[in-house]
Amino acid sequence: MLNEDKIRIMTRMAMYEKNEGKRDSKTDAWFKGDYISKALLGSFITGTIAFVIFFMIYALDSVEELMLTLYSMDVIALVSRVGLVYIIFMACFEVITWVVYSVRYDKAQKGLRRYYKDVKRLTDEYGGKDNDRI
Amino acid sequence: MTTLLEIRESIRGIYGRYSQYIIMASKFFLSLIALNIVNSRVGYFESISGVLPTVIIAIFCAVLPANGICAVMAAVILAQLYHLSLASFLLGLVVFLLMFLLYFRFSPGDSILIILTPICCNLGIPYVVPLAGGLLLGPASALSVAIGLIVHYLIVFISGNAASLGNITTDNIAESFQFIMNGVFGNRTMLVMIVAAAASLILVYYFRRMRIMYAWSVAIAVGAVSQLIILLIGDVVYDTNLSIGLVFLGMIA
Repeated sequence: MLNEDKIRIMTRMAMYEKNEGKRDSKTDAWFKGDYISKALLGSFITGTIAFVIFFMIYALDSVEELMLTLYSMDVIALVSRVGLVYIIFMACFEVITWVVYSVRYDKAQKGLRRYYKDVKRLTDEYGGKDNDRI
Repeated sequence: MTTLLEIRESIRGIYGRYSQYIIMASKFFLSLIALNIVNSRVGYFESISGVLPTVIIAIFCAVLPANGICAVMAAVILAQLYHLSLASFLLGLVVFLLMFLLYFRFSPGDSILIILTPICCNLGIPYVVPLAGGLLLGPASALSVAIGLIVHYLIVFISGNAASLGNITTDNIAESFQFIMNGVFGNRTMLVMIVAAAASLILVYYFRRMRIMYAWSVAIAVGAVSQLIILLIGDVVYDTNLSIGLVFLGMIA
């Protein structure tokens, strides 16, 4: 006689291992704080490079105006404005990164908890983990 | 009715047994179609525009994940643009670099939409992608669809202005740069399409998750109508010259 409960549990576990399990187990190797910090550091680097590209595009677009006002321009004010825009841009990008990776970590943990719960249920179905000891 | 159920079960069985090969074949054909569209629009590099190189690249894409296929397509487009002019190559490089730095940072699982969107735009059915994305994926897919639309309009702009882009010199670089910026990022048709697609996708996602009867059908109807309304408003406000009749026919199709 086939135990349908066991088959259901094992099928669910196999599907999880084949699909989301691979990704979730990589996430499980990190503490949440370290996982998010790693992501924030990566976003800082990519965000800074992206900001430099945006700034170069802006500079090329306003090159005529910049050339005309080059000698009368308040450089400190310009640098402060650029710095402020950079801080706002990076703050938004880091917040988005924090939210995305935090949700990702929580989803992975939820999936893993469900998987380990199935492992325990299956072990109990086979009579507990000490059952194979002679 | 029973015959349909039997057919459905047999399709499921075939997919269950051969899913790996079916997915590889699907990726191959998708990449082949995308490469053909790129070659027909911006095929300036003859060495990779031929049939054999296209098939080889498509075979290579068949074994890559969706993100990898996007990277290969970007490389092919950049190679084509490099043979047109340095200005078009730099334009493409900036767009793809921003895409990879800001979007692929999050390793999205729906980057296949970036390839599907330009394909559907070239087939005249761009309105299908937000509906499909909302039904099958999540609201974050709106970003993938938006990027797909930007790539499509970038290719259209470059193919339509190839002569001007090929004649950029250091004397006219400032005017040319502003022409490129207005042509690519100031394209109002593209902006209206992006807003329509994003809004439609989010609405479709929201409605298909509702606990009502025929939720999917309601979601599709809401998505189609919302796209039509936003495109109409965009046409009136920004004069985008979209043929609303063709839009309506495309949605029905």
